[in-house]
Amino acid sequence: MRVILVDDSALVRDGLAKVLADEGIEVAATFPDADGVLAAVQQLEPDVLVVDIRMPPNFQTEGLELALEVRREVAGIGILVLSQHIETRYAVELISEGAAGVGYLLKDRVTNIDAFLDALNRVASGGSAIDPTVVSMLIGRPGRLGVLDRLTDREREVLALMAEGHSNAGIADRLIVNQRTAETHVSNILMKLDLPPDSAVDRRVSAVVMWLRSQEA
Amino acid sequence: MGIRAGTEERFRFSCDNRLVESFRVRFALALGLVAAAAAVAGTLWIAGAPDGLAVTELVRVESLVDDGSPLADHARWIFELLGRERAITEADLSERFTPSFVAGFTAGQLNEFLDNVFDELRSVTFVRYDDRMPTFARAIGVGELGVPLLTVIALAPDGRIETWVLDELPGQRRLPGWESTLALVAGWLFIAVSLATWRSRPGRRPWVELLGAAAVLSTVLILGSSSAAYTIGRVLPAATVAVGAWLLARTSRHPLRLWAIGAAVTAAAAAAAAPFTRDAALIGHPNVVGSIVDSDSAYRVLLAGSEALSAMAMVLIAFIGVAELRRASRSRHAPVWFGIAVASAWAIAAGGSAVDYSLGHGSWAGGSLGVAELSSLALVPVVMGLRLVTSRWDRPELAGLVVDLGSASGELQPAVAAALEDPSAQVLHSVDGERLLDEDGQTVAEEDLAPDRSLTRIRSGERLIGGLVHDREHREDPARLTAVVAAIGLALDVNRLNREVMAQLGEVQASRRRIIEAGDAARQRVERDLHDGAQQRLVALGMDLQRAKRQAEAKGEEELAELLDSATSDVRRALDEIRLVSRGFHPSLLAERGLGAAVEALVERSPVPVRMEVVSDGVPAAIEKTAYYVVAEGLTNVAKHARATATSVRIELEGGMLQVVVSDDGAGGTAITPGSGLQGLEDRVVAAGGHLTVDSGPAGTTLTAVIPCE
Repeated sequence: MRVILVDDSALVRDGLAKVLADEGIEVAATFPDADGVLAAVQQLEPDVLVVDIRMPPNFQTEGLELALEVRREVAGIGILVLSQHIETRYAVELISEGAAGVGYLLKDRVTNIDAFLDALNRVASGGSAIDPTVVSMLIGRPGRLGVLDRLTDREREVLALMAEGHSNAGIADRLIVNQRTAETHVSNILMKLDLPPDSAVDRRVSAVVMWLRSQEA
Repeated sequence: MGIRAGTEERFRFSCDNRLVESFRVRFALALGLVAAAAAVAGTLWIAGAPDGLAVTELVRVESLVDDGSPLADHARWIFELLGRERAITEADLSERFTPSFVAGFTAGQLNEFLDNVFDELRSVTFVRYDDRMPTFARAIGVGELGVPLLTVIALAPDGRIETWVLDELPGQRRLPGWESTLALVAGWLFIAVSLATWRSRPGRRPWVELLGAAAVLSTVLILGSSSAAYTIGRVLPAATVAVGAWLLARTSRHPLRLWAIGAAVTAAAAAAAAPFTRDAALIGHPNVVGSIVDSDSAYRVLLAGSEALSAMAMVLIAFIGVAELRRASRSRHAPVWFGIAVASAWAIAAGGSAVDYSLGHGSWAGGSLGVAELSSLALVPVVMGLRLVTSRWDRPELAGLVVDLGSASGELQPAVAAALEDPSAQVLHSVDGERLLDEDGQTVAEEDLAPDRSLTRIRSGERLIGGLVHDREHREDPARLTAVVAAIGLALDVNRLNREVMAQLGEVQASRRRIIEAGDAARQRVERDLHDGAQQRLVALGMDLQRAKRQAEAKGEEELAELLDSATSDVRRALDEIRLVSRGFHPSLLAERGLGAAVEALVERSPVPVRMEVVSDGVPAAIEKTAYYVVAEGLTNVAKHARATATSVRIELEGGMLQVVVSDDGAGGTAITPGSGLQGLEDRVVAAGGHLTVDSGPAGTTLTAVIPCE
């Protein structure tokens, strides 16, 4: 796997490069800001672009804009956006044009290498990785439980994992059940939420996140 | 007890005021008493004059028909007595006209005789002081004004000697009983109006009114036997026309006024000179001191000229009055109208007298026309009284002025013009305490004013704060002027203080805004520093620890791996804590995505269900920030204290004001207390020019901020 890192903090860039190197992942290039990233992506054709959301010059959402731009320009590339602060709004903006190959994680997640690599792999293979914080804010929002009340606790756990971008196998793995059970849960949930039964993980993520967001209190 | 003490305090204060007031009243009363005593003394002196008939003026009657009748005989006898130029006594008369004598004639014959005698002897006066008027108290009794001072003796149809009410005064002019009454009434009215003027217009000494009283009352001096007093009694009353004219025209600014007063003064001088052209020296009668000429024609010319000038003066005054009507306020119309009426009546009477004198008669002038003039004179103090009363009616306008000035919208200039009844009154203000400026900022100097304008300076303490340009006339009513000036002073002072307070308030608000902005900037800096420094460093540290842990695992050092893992967890917790703090420090979402997104993010994190309604398009960033903090603080309080089950956040822009309302259905009990988060929030809202209210009760708490969006 080949990765391009964009982060204004050299410490993080270096640390992340080492973590990835340990795992045999090649860091093709690193950038301190968005300048020249698109050209490098087009030239180096990495599998994933890892980008910090807050960068020079304005330290606002430059990373987000870069991610959306690259996604529009370069087909099939995975993009993982990291942020010190998680906002559901940014997650929604990011997956607004499809969740395939998109990830949005709290930067702290890089301190859990296994989980981070898992997310990176999902994004690289066209899947999604939505931070659990986003999902828990969407599901846990008080007064929003009208329809979710009809789900069992187990189903809510499954729903959260679906929203985070896990495949049926990934869900089965995490809940330590067999894949069939997980699949049953998933189809039950989709039915209860009146969502189309779709096996593609990324479309599932978009559908679930948008559904959750649309449920106003 | 406290109330009682306060009442006593007020009472004492009002007593002090009354003392000051009563001093002036006592002074005026003393003056009145002196005048009254002078009148009483004069009357007494006259009453003490010798008994008997005084023949004051002898007209030789040649034409009385001697028809040999007994009545003709009696007539002859009367003329003999007169010819002897001695006082006829009552005894003389009763000896002659016995009842038996009278019985010989019919009533008609007797009346005809008396008519003849008295018609021919028109100017012969039989005068004596009445025995039946024993006390001077009755003679001057004000309650019986009109009680005659003198009586005349005459023949009654039944032959009885009868004492009549004074019908003719000794001297040139006939003065019937009620004419003397008029003189007394006029005199007392002048004294009364002098006192009233003295009391209500301390700035004006009523010398002219007192001169009027003296002039009209001095008429009685001619009744005495002293030539000096007689002279005063003949000369001083001449001043009445000057006094009347001056008092009627006094308040006018009309240029003709000077002509009117000039004519009246000349008329008075001519009338005063007239007595000196007549030698009235008779036995038992006082004469004008210093009379040198005895010329009937000179006498008549002087009087005719005097009356003509008086008429002219009064015509002018009536004309001025009409001109005055246009200028005077409605409440002042009554005295002006009355003054016009008085001047007109006087003018007609004086004009008639002038004609009468010039035709060589003088009987009309000395009779009914003279009475008409005297009546006009007596009405002059009434005009003055009306003026005083109507100016008192105006006093409520002063209260109105204070009320007008008290209201913020009240404009000074029209309120002052109304209170002073002076449309041209002009309020000036001073910025530097030296120069006085008008509305257009032009310097106004006292020497530039028109001659009938006056400038009154207004000070607050030692400082010159303004001025009032007004009609010079107002100086005569210092009470009104003082009240108006005090009111203007208050208004100017209040305006000045207002301006100063507003300026200071503006500074306070600006500095408050600067403090909050500085605080925000500092917090943003800290957030940036945390983000760029500690947070990244901790992330890198976390990654290193994880890598170390994996290496330890690879080497089978389980304990070390566990230790490193737990250290990583600590690092994550530290990151969580820093995130929480830095998020509160600087809501980056607000800058990045606006108020709606930022509020939504707050709502997402609220543990209580929140209904949200945000319409804030076009709101400036600074105001959005304030609104954001209102919502943040409101939701924090709900989460911490309210035990609420539902919350709502409403932000809307209405009429240029951004309304931010956070309400919950919780336990209430929220208030803005010093040092609380709400206090800080209030500072922030007030610094933005808005205000924050907290309405907290058992039904929940509503936090409302209203912030103006310029």
